[in-house]
Amino acid sequence: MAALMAILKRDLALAYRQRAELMQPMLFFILVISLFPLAVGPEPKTLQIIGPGVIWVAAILSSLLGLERLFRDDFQDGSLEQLMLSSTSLPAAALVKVVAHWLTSILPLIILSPLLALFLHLSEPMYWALLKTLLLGTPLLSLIGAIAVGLTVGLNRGGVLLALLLLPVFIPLLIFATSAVESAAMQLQYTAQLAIIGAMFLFSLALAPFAIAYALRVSQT
Amino acid sequence: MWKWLHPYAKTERTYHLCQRLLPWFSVLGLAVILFATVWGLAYAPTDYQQSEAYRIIYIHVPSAVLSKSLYSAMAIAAFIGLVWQVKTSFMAMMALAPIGATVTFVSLVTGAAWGKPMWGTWWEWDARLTSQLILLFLFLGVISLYKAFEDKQQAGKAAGVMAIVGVINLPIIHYSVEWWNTLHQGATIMKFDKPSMPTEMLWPLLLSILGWALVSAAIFLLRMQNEIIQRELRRPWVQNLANKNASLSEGK
Amino acid sequence: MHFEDISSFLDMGGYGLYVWLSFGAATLSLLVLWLDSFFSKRTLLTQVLTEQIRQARIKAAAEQSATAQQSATAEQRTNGETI
Repeated sequence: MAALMAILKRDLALAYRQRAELMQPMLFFILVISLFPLAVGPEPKTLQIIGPGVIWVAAILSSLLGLERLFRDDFQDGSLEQLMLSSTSLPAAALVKVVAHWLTSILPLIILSPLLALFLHLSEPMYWALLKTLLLGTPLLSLIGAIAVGLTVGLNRGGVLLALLLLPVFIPLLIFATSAVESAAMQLQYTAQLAIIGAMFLFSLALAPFAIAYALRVSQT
Repeated sequence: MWKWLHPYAKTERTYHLCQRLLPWFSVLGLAVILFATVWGLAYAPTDYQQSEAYRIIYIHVPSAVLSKSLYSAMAIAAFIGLVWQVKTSFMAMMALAPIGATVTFVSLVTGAAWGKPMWGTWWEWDARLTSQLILLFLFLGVISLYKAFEDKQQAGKAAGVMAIVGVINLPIIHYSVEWWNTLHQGATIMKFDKPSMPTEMLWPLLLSILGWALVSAAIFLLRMQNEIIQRELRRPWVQNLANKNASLSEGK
Repeated sequence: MHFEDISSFLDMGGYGLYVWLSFGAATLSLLVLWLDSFFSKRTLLTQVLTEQIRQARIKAAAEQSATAQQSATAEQRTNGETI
């Protein structure tokens, strides 16, 4: 347990030291979202219709950018190997690293979300739905993304490959999350969508750490 | 119960099995697919709703069915490879992937070609076509991941993990796309209503599916052999094979 | 035969373009896939052969230089003896 806390603290400290690098996904997030009013016109009604989808797609793409650094540095300097050889359970360690990653790369996006909801003229009920979907759904991005990152960490040009692997898998999340926000816009209930996202989240929470650990072992050979 | 499979963990055994099966599947597959296609194209009755355009069903449905079966087969091979560490299973997985991708592509093209006369547009985001598109991405992802690795042992395991992640997600994706489709379609009905299937239409369809399955199996056997040769380049039995092959072609 | 003549067969009730496009795309795709698989096998087997020949060549060259070295050292010894 102490070892896991140590890993968490280490990852958070390292992330803090690389603040500049952490800004990149955030800036990307804001930029991409800002492109849409420019592209489709500033009419609030249009923006409200595309808003939930745009924010979620931008969140997914930004998380892909941030995922790359999840294991890369540790892989390159050998600390990942050390971790795998240590007595700490690798799935647990992987989960802790994913938590650290979510806190440093994705939570900032969620903190920015009110601003971006404003940019896209989302109504208040829509925003609350969006927030709930982000809180429930983005951990999924980190967990499943980490599996693919674990597999590709040893490769030179992992970037686009990562997107190719992960985007199809994120589609259900995208569908249910945007549907929740749209239901909120129509003053309808969206507990069903949240429940499904929640179920997907719990499912991956249970299984992903083992898949991530396996992926890391494959890459390390 | 699975003891009979054990010898096939050895590449040489599997290669020769593929060689023995190849002529049967190739000839049978070609015959069945030609027969069924001609039957469906020329001899099956017309559909009163969709006129002759419905005949595309004799390609679209087999390719769609095969695309899903091949992905499942690929995932099973991945599972066997990962759990029991069987190299030949990974080779089988990668032999299946390009076939699956091709067949999925065909289902998309025929779906679009069927859509144009029926709905007026070449592309429609209906549940079936969208699911097939995502399936194509899943196939391409597994292939790309495999090719990205130098060490083919690693490559097999990595691609295997992605194949399994994909297969777990497949029902979720399918369900969510269907649901998404009902949300956004509004009043329109499910577009790919199969024409009411009298037996004269059903038989060529079933036969086409069989034909496609046999042809896919034949191509799989070929590609499996290729995978084996690639991985076992230096082995003496492969060297002998190449020599025999050369002397055969020289003899001609 | 459901169709009266060839032209109505090709026309497919006005939907000829779509039907033949589908069949054409399917045939082409399967053909390309089969050709790729078949010719890959050929190429691979030729690769194995050329690699074999190459290895044999390397081995022969190594043996040659080994025997050359042997005779050179043998000469040196005889020279050394005569001196």
